[in-house]
Amino acid sequence: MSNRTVSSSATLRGALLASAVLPWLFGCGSGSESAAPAKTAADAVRVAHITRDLVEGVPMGKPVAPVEVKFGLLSTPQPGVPFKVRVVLLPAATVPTMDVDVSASEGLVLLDPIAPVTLDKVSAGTVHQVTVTAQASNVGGYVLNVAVTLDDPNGEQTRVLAFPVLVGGSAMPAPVSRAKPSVGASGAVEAVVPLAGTETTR
Amino acid sequence: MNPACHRSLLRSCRWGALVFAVLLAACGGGGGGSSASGGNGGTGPTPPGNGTVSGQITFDRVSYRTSGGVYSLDFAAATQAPARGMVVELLPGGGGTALATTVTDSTGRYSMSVNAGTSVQLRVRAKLTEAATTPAYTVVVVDNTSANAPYVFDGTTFTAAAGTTTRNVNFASGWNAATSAYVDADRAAAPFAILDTLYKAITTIRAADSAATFTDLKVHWSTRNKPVTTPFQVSSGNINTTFFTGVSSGTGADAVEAGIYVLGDAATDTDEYDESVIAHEYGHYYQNVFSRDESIGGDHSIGDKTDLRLAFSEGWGNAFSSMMRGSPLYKDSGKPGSTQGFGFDIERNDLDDLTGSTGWYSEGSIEEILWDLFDNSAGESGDTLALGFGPIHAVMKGGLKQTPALAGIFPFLAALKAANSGSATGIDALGQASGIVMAGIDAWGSTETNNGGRADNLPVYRTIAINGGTVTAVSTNNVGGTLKLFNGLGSRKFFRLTVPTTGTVSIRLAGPAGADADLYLYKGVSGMVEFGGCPGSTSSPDGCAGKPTEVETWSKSLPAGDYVLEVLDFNRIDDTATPAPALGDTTLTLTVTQP
Repeated sequence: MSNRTVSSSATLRGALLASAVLPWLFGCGSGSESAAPAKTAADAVRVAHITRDLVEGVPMGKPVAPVEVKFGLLSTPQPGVPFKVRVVLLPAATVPTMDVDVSASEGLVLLDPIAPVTLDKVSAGTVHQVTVTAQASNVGGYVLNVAVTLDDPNGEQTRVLAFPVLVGGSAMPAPVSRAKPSVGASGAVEAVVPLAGTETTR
Repeated sequence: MNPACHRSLLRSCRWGALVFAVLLAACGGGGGGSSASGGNGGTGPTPPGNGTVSGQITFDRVSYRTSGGVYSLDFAAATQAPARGMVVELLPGGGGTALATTVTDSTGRYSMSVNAGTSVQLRVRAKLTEAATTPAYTVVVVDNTSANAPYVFDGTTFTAAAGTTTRNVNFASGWNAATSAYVDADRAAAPFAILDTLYKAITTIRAADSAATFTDLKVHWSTRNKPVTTPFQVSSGNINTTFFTGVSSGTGADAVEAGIYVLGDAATDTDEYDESVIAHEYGHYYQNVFSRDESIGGDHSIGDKTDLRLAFSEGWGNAFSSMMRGSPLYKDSGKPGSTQGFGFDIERNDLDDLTGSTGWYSEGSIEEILWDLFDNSAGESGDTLALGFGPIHAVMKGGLKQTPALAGIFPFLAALKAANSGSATGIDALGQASGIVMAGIDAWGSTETNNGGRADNLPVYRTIAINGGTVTAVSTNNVGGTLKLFNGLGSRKFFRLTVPTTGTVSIRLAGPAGADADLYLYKGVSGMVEFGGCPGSTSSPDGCAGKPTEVETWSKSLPAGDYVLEVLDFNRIDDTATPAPALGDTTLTLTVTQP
């Protein structure tokens, strides 16, 4: 299944809105970790397809655990409105369990998951996804932290990545509005954009 | 330049409310007679005054100069055209609650009563309405770069005299001939030019269907609307191209309000005077409100062989545009002051023939058929019909809308023939001239033999029987040896599925390793009712972590009835992939079972 819709305008819009978010995400700086080794060329194609709209997080410390983590906004963060972040995990090792612990910077409230997520019998080259829901009351920059721990009989290996989130921000500075307040036909105040016209009396 | 591509009702008129509707029905799309009194009557707290304020509202209509098939704006040939169906208000001097409201007639004239000696000022809104319709609606031009605020003109304050006080207003194009450039602040004609194109369309539709129910529509125009997509953000004017969307989406600065968006950036491209383009987009609004549009979008041009839904929708847009304007010429100017622009004649649209793309999958063929069904131009071999808009409108809102097949040329022509048996010979001739088999035509294209160059493009719809075993179909990006992604002919294959009794139906679609098998299920006018996904998945794309994409399976309780299954290999046709998919085919196998 693809993320294409069946509406022409919606298709265009969806693709473009996605691209609208990406520039500043990339601008936040990202690691250069290589992708998890795929078992086959077909696997590589599949992984590329699944993660094609995602960006890598900012690594916090050395990349110890052999897992790649990618992020993508599923909705535009706005103050007071829950938004979703797609977190895709690409383990490069086969381990009995993989724990995913999500936390948020001050001012950003984590709504789901509120407890660590444990995935069992994880195989190298597979793809896993966690959808995170969060909310901030105010406009500003925040950070989601994702700690991924691979557990195996030899011990734990953890990797932490940060995902910057801009709430209420825009990819572009908003143009200056040309609207001015005015009293409408019903008496209510409305914002209108004035037009120039030439009046004549005959 | 790129042709890709409820009610805030004027309060009910106290008098003369029916005048506008009558004029619309009678004037046939252009000009028409004038109202003796002008306007359509005032409304609101109009005092029984002994004075009348009246006048005419006009705007600069900029036409074209033509050179070698290139259409560019010709400001020297601009004329003052009546602003028809516009909302005009009489405010107290200095502003405030309107004392009276009216609507201009088919000559742009208005008239409102007022007490003599009252200090007043005129307000003209870029707002089109039919006050007499039930339910009434408005078409408003707003500035998407100013929080979707409407465009309004406020005149100077004056004292209403006993008898008649005349107050005319003209909105200029804002073009400065001395500098060969616009003064953006003076480009007041643009919103009225856009609305006048829609006035013609509404007039034509109303003449064919006096009971047609329109809905409110916003047209988003700004001098800051430019063909930029990095990023796409309508609040900043980055709209890519003139387009229509039937749904609102996004929030905050990324919000996209439903409606038509029109280019207006003088440094790159403007469309406000390009009636072909404006009417084309209104054609998509028409489909959204009166009929059905299932276009999948993506890049396309007249000579392409494409998905049948895209071909019909875009062919309809151009043909509808011509029907509303009464001209087969499509004209689209480029940057104002330049010689950029283009145009073509859908009456003599040979591009599909020259490229060998004539048929049910060609928007060029479809716009030609639709126009020839409508027009009354003489001299074209094989074009004996002049049905006008009525029969076409009846099929669009009837047979095409209700078909269990996908919205393409087959259900349109089948329904048109059935409803107009006396014109069957002429309809057949036009269809056949564009490479469509008309003998025995049905909504499913069952008799079609034109395969577009690939045998596996037929039948248009394969049949999949429940518990009938596995059938195969090919999803390809190879259209005549050329890579065509996303919407090319053969990229998606269709199956007819009849569910005899309500119950759980299980579907399995499988492709080879590396494929991304996708399936979509449609049920007539209800549109898409389901799309493929991994069991238990709650998100897309795929949402199938750890599961193979080459197989999609799902079970769902379906009501009895006729369905269409669409299948494809997304990896084969993905137009966003880097590098692009290799030229080739993917064979998919489909199985449908029911306990």
